[in-house]
Amino acid sequence: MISITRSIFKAIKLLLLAALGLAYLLTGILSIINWSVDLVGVNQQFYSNFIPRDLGFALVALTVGASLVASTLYALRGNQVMHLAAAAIGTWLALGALVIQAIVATATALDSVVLGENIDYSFVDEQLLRMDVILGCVALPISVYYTLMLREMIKSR
Amino acid sequence: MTSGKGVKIALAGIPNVGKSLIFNKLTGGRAWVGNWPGVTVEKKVGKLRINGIEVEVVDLPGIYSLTAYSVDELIARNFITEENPDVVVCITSAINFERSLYLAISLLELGANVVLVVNMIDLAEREGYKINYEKLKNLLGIPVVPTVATTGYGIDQLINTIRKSLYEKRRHAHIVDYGKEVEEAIKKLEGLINETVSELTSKYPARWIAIKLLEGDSEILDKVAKQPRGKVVIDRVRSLREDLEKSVGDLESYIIERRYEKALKLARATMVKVAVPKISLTDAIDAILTHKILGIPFALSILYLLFRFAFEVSTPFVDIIDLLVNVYLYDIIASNPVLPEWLTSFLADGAIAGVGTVLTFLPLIAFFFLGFAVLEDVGYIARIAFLVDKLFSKFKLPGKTIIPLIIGFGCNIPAVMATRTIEDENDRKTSTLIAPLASCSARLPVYLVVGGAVLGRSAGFAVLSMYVLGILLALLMGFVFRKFIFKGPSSGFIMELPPYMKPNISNIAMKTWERTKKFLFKASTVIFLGVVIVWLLSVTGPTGYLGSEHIEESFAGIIGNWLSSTIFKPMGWNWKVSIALLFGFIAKEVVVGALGVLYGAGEEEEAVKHAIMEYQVFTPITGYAYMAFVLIYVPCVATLAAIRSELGLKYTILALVYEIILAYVLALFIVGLGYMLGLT
Repeated sequence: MISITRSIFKAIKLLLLAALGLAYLLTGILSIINWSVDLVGVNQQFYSNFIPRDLGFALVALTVGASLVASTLYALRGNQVMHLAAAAIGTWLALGALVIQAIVATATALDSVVLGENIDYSFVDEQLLRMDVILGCVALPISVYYTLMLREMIKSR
Repeated sequence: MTSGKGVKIALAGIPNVGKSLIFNKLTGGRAWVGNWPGVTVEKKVGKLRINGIEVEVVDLPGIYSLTAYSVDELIARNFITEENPDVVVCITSAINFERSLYLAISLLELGANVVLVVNMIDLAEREGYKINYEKLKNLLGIPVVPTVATTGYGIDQLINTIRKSLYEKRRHAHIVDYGKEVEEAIKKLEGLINETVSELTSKYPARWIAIKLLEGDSEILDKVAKQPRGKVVIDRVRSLREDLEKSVGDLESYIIERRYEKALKLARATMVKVAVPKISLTDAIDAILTHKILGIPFALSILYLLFRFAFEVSTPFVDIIDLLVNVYLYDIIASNPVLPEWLTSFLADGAIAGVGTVLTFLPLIAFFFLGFAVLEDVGYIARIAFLVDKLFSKFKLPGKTIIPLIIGFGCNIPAVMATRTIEDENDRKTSTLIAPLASCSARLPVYLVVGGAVLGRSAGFAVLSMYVLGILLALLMGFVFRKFIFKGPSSGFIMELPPYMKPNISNIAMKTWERTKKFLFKASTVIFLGVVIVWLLSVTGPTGYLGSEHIEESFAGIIGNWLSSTIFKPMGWNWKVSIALLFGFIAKEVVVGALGVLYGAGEEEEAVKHAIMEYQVFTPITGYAYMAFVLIYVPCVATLAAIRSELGLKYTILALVYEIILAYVLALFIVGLGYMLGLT
C-alpha cells in the first residue's frame, strides 16, 4: 500500500514537473512567434499581454522548460542526480526571472513617480501579469522541494 | 626590519583562491587602484597597520607560475625581485592544492620570504579532506596559516604571522631536487653566474637564474646576455642544455614536471581524505550549468537577466539624474537672459549635455557591475568561459571573451569594462578591442528604421543578420589581433573552476565601487569632450557661430557634404545621412533622431521611417550597407572613453581607426556585391 502511494506521489511529481516544463516551452515558442510577427509588422500576436515579444524572455522560458522536461526524462531513466539537479537549477532560473521581474516592476513604479506619471491597472497588467511571473509563482514550491531533495541527497552520500 | 618606512608585503596566488577577499580583509577594503607601469594589468595597493607600523600591501595579478610567457607572471616576479617585498603571502586553495603549491614552490625558488596561506579549508573539509598544517610547515620550512576568507577565519593569525615574518626572514631557494644530472648542471652554472654576472645575483638567487637559464626563460637569457661577460654563461648554458636533453628530453618540460612532482608529493604528504563524498553541491550544479546542451542556454539566460537587471533597474536613477541635469539645470542655463547666445548654447547644449551624458550612464554601469560582481563571487563567470573555451580557442581567444560579447548586445560600455576579468593581458586587449563589434541595443532603432523603410519583408532577417555579422566580425578581428598584433601564447586556456560560494557582500560592494569609480573618473573626460566637440561642429561654421538652425552651413554640414560627395559617394549616401553618422558618435540611437530632424520628421521612429521612404533616401542595398556601417563604424563616445580607461589612448585610436576602415570596406563590399548581382 505504501509503495503504491509512493509511486502515485512520484508520478504526480513528475507529471507536475513535466507540465510546468511544457508550459515554459510553449511560452518560449509563443514569445519567439510574437517577436517574429512584430518584426515583419503583422499586428496579430498570441496572448501578447501575457507573453512579451522578447527574445531574451523566450530564451529564459525555453531554458527553464528544457531543463524541467530533461529532469523528468532523467527521472524516468533512473538518473537521480541529474533529475534533482536539473529540476532544482531549472526552477532557480525560473525564480531568478521572477525576482528580476519583481525588481523591474518596482523600478518601473519608482520611475513613474520620478516622471510624475500615474500608476494605473495597466501597470499590473504589463509588469506582473506576465508568464514569467505567473509560472515563476508556480515554480516556487517546486523549487523549494527539489532544492531540499538535492541537499538531502548530497548529505546522504 | 627595523622601521616601518617602506615596509611592503605582496599577495600572490592562482586565480580564484580568494586573494581579493584576503586583500580586503587585510586592508579594510581601502585600496588604491591603478595599472602596473607600462601595461594595462590592474594594480591594487592598500595599507595594513601592524604594531603601529604602516605596511603597504600589494595585490599581485592572479598567476599559476613565474614564467616569462605571461605578462602577469612577469609582473609578479619582477615585483618580487625588484621591489623586494619583506613578505610574500602566497594564497593557496585547499581544494586546488597541488596547483597552488606549484606557485608556492616557484616563489620559494625565487628567494621570496613566503608565508603560505591555505584558504577555503571549509570547502575542502566539506569534500572530505583534512590538511596537516604542521607537517606542511615543517616540509616547506615556512609559516602556514589556514583561513576561510569568506568568514574571516584565520585572518588575525595571518596578520600575526606576517608580523613575525617581517622580523624572521626565511628563504629556501633550494626546494626542488631536479635529479643528479640537472642538479650538477645547476651547481656548475651557479658558480659561473656568481663569477661572471654577479650584478644579477644581487637581485635573483644564483640557483634560480641557473634553473631559468636551463629552462630557456627568454627574459633571463636576455638579461644575462646583456652583461659584459654574459656570453660565457650563455655558451655554457647551450652546451649544458644539449648534453642534458640527450638524457632527460626537453629540459623545460622536465624541470616543470619535477616541480609538479614536488607539489604533488607535498600535497599527498599533508592532505588526507577522511571521508569520500561521491558528489558535492558544486558537482551537482555543474552537471547542469556546464552541460554540453543545457549549459549554453543557461549562460545566455543568466546574462540576459543580468542585462535586464542593469538596464531596467537603473532607469529611475537615470531619469532622476536626467531631470536634474538635462531638464532643471539645462532650463536654468537656457533661460538665462544675461549670457550671450553662443555661451548659453555652449553651456546648455555642450557642457550640461556632456555632464548629463556622463552621469546618466553611471547608474547603468553601477547596477551592471553589482550584478556581475555577484556572478563573479558565486563562481559562475568561470563556468561561462569554460563552456565556450574550446570554440573560442580556434580563434585564439579565451572563453571569457564571450562575456563582453554577450554583454555588448546590451551596451558596449559595460562590455568593454567586463574585459578586465580576463587575466592575460593580450587576451584582454584583444577582447576590449572587439567588444564594440557586438551590436548594442542603441543600434537597434537604426536597423528598425532604415531596414523597415527600405527592406520591406526582409527587414527582420536584415536586423538578425546584423547581430550575426557583429559576432562573426568580432571573432574574425579577434583572430587577426591575436595572430598579428597581440602575439604570444595565452594563459587563458588554463581553466580553473572554483567551487560555488555564497557571495560576500563587502567583496561585491568593493568590486562594484572600484569599477564604477574608474568609469566615472577616467571615462568622464572623454565623454564630455566628445559631446562638446560634436556640439561645436554643429553650431559653428567658417563664418563663426551659426546657432542650431543652420546645420547645413555648419562644420558638421560641410563635413557631411564632403563625405557624401567623396568617401560615401560609391554608397550613394547623401549629406544628411552622412551627418547623422557624425551625431551617432555621441550615441548610436542619435542617428535616428538626427535623421528625423534633418528630414523635418521629428524624432519619432515611425515618422523617420516614413520620411526615409518618402524621400527615397536609400535603395535596399545602400540601406543595408548603411545598417552594416552603423553596426561597425565607431564605438560611441562613452564606449571609446571606456576603452581609453581600460587600455589607454593608443588602443583607443586603434579601435577608432580599425572600426572605421572595417565599416567602410564592408559597406563598400555590400554595395559592390549588390550592383554585381543587379540588386539596385
